[in-house]
Amino acid sequence: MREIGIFLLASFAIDRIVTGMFYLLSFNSELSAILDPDAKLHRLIYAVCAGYLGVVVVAGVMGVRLSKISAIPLDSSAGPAVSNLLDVLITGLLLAGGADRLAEALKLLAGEVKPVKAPIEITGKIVLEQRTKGSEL
Amino acid sequence: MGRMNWSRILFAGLLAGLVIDSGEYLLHLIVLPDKWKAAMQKLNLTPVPASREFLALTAAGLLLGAVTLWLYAAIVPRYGARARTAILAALGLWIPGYFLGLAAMLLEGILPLDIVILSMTAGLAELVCGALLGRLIYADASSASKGEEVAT
Repeated sequence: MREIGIFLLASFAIDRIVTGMFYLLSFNSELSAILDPDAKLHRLIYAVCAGYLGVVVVAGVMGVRLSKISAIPLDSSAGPAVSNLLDVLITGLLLAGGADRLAEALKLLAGEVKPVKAPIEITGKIVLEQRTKGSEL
Repeated sequence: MGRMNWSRILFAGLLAGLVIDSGEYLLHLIVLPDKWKAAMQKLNLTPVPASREFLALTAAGLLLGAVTLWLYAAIVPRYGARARTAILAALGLWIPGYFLGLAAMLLEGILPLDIVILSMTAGLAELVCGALLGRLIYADASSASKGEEVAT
């Protein structure tokens, strides 16, 4: 339970930091268009920022790692450097992915529902007229 | 020739810098710390504390990302807004920044071959990935602001 709590807390912190950063940057008129949640690249930018925070800051510098939390010993048959790298990478990616999911769960809890875009409906009457040579004269 | 948009260059460059930073951190502080320690001991130098190394790598990575995107934006009018241009911008920084510097250290016998090869390879991959990501963001931001201009 404690392990899940640590992961959730770290993911929550990552999500809040990235969302706060996006909010501040959205005041720049040049950047507000790409930082809009509906923008095409929003998810990619979020993934890069959350990935950096998860892999480098939380898993790397702060030392919150899957092997330490779950007390599973690292298999160093591929070398200690490779197992350390995998440990940091997988923990960071789990944290970054968790932050993304947590952000969506928080939106659901807050009752924020995206309005469903109804298809555009056009009603009317089309009249087709055939011009004859006589009528043109 | 169009004017460069500095806020877009800076934003896309800092994101490219995050990609470079991640690669540098994983390589130098997770994969190669023992080899670096041995190389420093061979030169009778005291190893740099990890916190200082982290700060130095972060600052250098962010700066490198911003300069890569500046170079990309500067050569776009000549080479076009293509992925190839971003790769060229990355190569333009990799050759003096990584290749020549590390090759000189190898030839002088300061650094061992494995550190040099790994640093060169990872540096090229980081710079190319960072430049391609930055290009996507730079291009998307420019098309978005053009759309706004048309709409207004």
